Amino acid sequence: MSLILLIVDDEEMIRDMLSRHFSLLDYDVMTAANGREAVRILETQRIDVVITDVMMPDMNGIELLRYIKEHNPTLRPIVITGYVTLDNALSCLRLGAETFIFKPLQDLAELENAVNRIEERLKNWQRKLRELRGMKP
Amino acid sequence: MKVLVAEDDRVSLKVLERFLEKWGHQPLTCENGLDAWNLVSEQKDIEMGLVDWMMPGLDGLELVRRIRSSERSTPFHVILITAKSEKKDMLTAFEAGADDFLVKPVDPMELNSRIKVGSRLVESQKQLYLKNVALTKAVTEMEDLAEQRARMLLHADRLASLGVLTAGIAHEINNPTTFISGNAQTLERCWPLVERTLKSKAESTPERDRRKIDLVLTEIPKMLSGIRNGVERISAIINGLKTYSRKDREHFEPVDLNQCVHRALILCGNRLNHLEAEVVLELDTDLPNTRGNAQKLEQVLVNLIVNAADAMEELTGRVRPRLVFRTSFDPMHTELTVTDNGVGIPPEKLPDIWNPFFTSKDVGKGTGLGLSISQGIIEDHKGTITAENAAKGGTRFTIRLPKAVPDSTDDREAGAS
Ligand SMILES: Nc1ncnc2c1ncn2[C@@H]1O[C@H](COP(=O)(O)OP(=O)(O)OP(=O)(O)O)[C@@H](O)[C@H]1O
Ligand SMILES: [Mg+2]
Repeated sequence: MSLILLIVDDEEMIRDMLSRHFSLLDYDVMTAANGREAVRILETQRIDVVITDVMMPDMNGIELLRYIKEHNPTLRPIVITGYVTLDNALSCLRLGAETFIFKPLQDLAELENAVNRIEERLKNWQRKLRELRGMKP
Repeated sequence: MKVLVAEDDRVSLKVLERFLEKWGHQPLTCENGLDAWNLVSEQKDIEMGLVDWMMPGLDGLELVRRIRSSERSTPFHVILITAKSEKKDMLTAFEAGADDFLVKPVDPMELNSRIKVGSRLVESQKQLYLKNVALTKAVTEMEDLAEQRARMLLHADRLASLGVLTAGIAHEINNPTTFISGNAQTLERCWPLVERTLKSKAESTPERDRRKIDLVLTEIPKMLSGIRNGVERISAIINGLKTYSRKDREHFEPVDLNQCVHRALILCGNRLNHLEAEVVLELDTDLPNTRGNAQKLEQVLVNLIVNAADAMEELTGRVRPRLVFRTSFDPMHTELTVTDNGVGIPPEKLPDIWNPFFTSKDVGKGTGLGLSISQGIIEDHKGTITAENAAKGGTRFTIRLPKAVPDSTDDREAGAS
């Protein structure tokens, strides 16, 4: 079962580029142009990894992180951003982001690694949960 | 006081001379007007004149007129002495520029009093003159200061608007760069698949069309690396600009400049080792702390070291690279100099090195932002950074920073200004 990624960025070309890239790496990819669209998807659909921009009209990345922390607390969103202030970075940390990565994403490997880490973490939990089920009478 | 005595009658002249000496003055005597004129023109410190009206050649009245119309900046008090006693003669004398008037025969007591009055006048005129000079000087200094301040403001203003502008530009360029870069990377990953497919297709293609496929096979990787290279350069510029537009709130605390030097050297160690450079540390062990942000100051130092390494590398083989760090302090400031023995900077280029994008380095090697960012950082610290050519060739950078105040260990301050 492959992981489902949600890519949130107001720049269409970046959404396209990232979804192409991760599709080619065998992930299922969904996209949203802002926080609000992302929330609509999160409400109706299983999502394993969120990759989000910070500066977006109509619910920005930080607000999205806040929503996720409240409604999908198992998610560890990855923040991609052109510019991070110290305050922003601390908010990301507090709101449970996995990491933040600077645009222009000179090396996509950093992003892939972050996705892999999340994948590992999820797999680990799935194993644990299976073990738990197995132990039940 | 030096007193000119101009009198054609020798006896009177002698008498006046005696009296003046007795009263503690320094008389300079002349027997005619022309000599008197020459004397007064030469010696600007003669401050008083006892002048006989009636003299052969240049008479007293004419002498006074000349003196008054000359551009004498020091005071000169003239007492005209004459046998004439009509009221209208007196008026003529004052009209000509005499300050006082005595009728012959001169009563010594009266003369003495009049000379005293004259001295007082001269003295107050002198005071006035000195005050005036001081005032003029102060005014010029104030004007200089105002001009300097205006320049600084203009500079700060330019930097500030440049900061805002560059932050905007960096942001705008960032997004397109992201998808150029990302797409190129994805394409590179896909390439092996495309390559394999194309190769196998080429085998079943007639010779004629095969040439084109071969060309594509060899050229596309190059095109991809071309894109990659471009993106890397743009990214470097964007990163520079981001630092340049510093919006972060900065954290100032007591910083040990000597430590900063050590840490910066660790960061640049490889580069200097590679050059086999001799690193000389003349660090003052008593150096007090500096008020600043250690990370930012290290960033400045790294910039300076990299620049020095570049400058010294250009002379490889000719001189052994040598980089000297020296720290010192005075009651208010700490100071750090970094001196290299590299190619140096042509004097006419010295003012330009601080400009963003000024670089003498090859395209792709330098963005020309290093020093302008460094200057921004030092200015945020309320310090100064200057460059000069070192005596024995090479360049010296001097950074002066405010000393840390002992008890203010934690003050936050807005960095953007
Ligand atoms: N130590 C030095 N000796 C000689 N020239 C120097 C030295 N430091 C700076 N320069 C001159 O000043 C220019 C500007 O320096 P600056 O650090 O701002 O940009 P850069 O080094 O060219 O690029 P980068 O943005 O990568 O630092 C350099 O290109 C060089 O010509
Ligand atoms: Mg430089």
